[in-house]
Amino acid sequence: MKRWLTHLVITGYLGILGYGVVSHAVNYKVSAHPAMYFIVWDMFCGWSSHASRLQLVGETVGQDGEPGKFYELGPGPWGEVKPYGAIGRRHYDAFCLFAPKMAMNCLKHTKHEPMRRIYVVEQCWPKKYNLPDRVYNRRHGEEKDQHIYHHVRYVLNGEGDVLKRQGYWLNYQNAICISNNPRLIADSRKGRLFYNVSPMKNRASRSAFHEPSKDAGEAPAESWAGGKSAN
Amino acid sequence: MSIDQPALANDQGVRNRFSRFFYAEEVPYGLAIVRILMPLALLVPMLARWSLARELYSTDGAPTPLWFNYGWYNMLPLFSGGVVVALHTLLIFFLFSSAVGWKTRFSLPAATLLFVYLNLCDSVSTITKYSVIAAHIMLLLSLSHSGGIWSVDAWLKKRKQLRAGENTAAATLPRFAIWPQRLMQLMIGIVYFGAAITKMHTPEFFSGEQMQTWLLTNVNYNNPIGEYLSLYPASMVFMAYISIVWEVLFLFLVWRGWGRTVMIAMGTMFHLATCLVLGLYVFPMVCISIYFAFIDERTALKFGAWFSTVRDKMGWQSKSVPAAVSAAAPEAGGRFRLPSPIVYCLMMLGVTVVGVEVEHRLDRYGVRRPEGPYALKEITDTNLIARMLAAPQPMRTKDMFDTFELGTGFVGGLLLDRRDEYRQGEMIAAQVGLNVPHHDMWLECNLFDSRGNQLDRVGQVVSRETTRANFYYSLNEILDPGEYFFVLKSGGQEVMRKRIVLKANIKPPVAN
Repeated sequence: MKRWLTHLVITGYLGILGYGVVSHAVNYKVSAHPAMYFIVWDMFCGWSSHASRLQLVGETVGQDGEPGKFYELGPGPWGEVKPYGAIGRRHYDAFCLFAPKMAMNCLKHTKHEPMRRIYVVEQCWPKKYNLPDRVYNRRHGEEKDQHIYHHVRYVLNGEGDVLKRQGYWLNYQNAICISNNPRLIADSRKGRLFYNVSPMKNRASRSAFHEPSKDAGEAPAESWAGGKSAN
Repeated sequence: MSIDQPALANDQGVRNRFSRFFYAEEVPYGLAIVRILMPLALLVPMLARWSLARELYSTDGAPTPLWFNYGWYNMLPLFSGGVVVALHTLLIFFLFSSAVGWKTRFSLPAATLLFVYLNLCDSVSTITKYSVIAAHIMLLLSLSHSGGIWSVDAWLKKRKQLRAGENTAAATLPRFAIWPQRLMQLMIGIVYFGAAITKMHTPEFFSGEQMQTWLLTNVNYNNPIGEYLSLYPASMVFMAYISIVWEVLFLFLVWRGWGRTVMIAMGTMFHLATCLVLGLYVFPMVCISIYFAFIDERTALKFGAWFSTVRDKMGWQSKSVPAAVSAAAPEAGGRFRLPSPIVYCLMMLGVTVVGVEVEHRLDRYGVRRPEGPYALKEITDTNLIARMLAAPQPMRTKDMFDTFELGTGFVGGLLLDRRDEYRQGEMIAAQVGLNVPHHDMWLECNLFDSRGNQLDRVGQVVSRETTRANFYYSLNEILDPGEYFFVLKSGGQEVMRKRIVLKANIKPPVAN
């Protein structure tokens, strides 16, 4: 009996590991369940030529028509969690799923004026500027001229309700590149549905090609580039 | 009996070989070392996170559960701060007691369960693939008899035998079926195989671009050697091919003889390199710990004999600690001696209570300070706020470019022999590295003399997916020796320039 149980454990365990490898190899249901994280070995699967960081900013309600003040909501005033080195925990939120929660946690444990808006801002720059100055000069033969790009990912109200959500800065830049092609944009406008039954209508993948918003104050480039998209 | 023994080679039939492979009985030397090292490796990240547990894993903080990433929003419960701190303290206790082998059959599964749960609660800053590999190993250790030797449990057992008047010196070490050890070996082999599949899915891995950007990604610990290595991108391609060949072969060659030695040696070097080049610290600790699972009984005895020889030659006369403690054990404790399970439970309880109390006094959020909770830090730089909240701007042209370098040829698609001095008659290769995304562009690499006269113009269309563009020039003898500039232009606008010095050809002209 014990031997059969052991057989079962061995075959079961190897079967599960084998399923993970095959699933990963043919890209079949690799994200179907959190358990897949334990059997899919996709270490170092992605790369980007740009570094990305997240900043959490709170804006207070201004008094008597005065503009509000801005406060840092990440890191919390009690100190920053630096899990793997020099940068704070919020910067590891690659999908920007939890940054609003981190901002709300900061508000929950501090004394502050009422907040009007909470912003989650993505900062990006080419990774070549991460090189130390000496190595950078040797590689590129020039001084660094780093420019940091900012991109608002979330706007929330004081209670943490999402008012606006945008895709990655890189998606925005990519959309700009695509929108430079008039033929492609014209093609995307053909064959419009009369009924909108798609549950995915707000997905970012659609955003680069949807009709520019007629909302006042929104620049066409922004809407073309996924400015209103939900990621 | 190890798989290296001749008996296995003479066995006939797949079933017999399978049975020998998984059910041969050995003294668990390798497993005992893994049992000692793995919990110690896990204590490194988990001790560092203990004082942060409230913020990272509890409803009193900002947990980032992994199951949210997969859209399973109610898969596991999240607990309050106090409960999570107690669980984390217990995890530290169980990891420590697993390492010393105290109540191993309980400590290991308990540590595994808590380790997996707490890791799952923080997808952003705790769980990584090394956590997953470690979780597998902890699970397999839980199923094994790794506490059979070199453990408090073994010592207690020996002490009990001494008390009963048995002759422990003559007793042989316990032997167990090696299937948990085999599963560990297979598991790490499959991990490497899976990692190779990931690389096969990533064409940029083979062109060196992925590694190049990882060297510049400051999300791990400091990696100054990696940053310096980015000056030699061609080495990335070389290392990429070596690592993928090793990852594929590991599962097939690691089982015996030189194959095992080479695979383990390469693996150790690979993981040490990830530490130096990428700034990974715990990952190498976890993986190198697992390599000890490849120590079979025969290898362990060989090492033991070698160590005894060295000890005798060096004249070391120390009595081993376990033997010394075992010899003293019967008298220890006196009449106040408590049974080990009760001591274990009391320790568990005591450590948890002390842990919760200490964390409470540490007051992570400062809410119990005399002056009350912390105040938020105001951002007074209005320009910074204006930049942050402005509509996003298109990328600067120069930020679409990574490098512009000159050399004499290519290897693996990367520039070789970079320099700024050439001789007449040489071929010069210019390589432009581009950051994606960038728009479709017309690129020119123009040659200017030192007085600013444009001598040549070469251009090409670069599509938006392209990460490299190459230009070739022949520095023939029409060009006089002197100073020249290669100027990279996009849309008519200068982006980068490189200076070269052209020297006269020293070879005499061929007479014909």
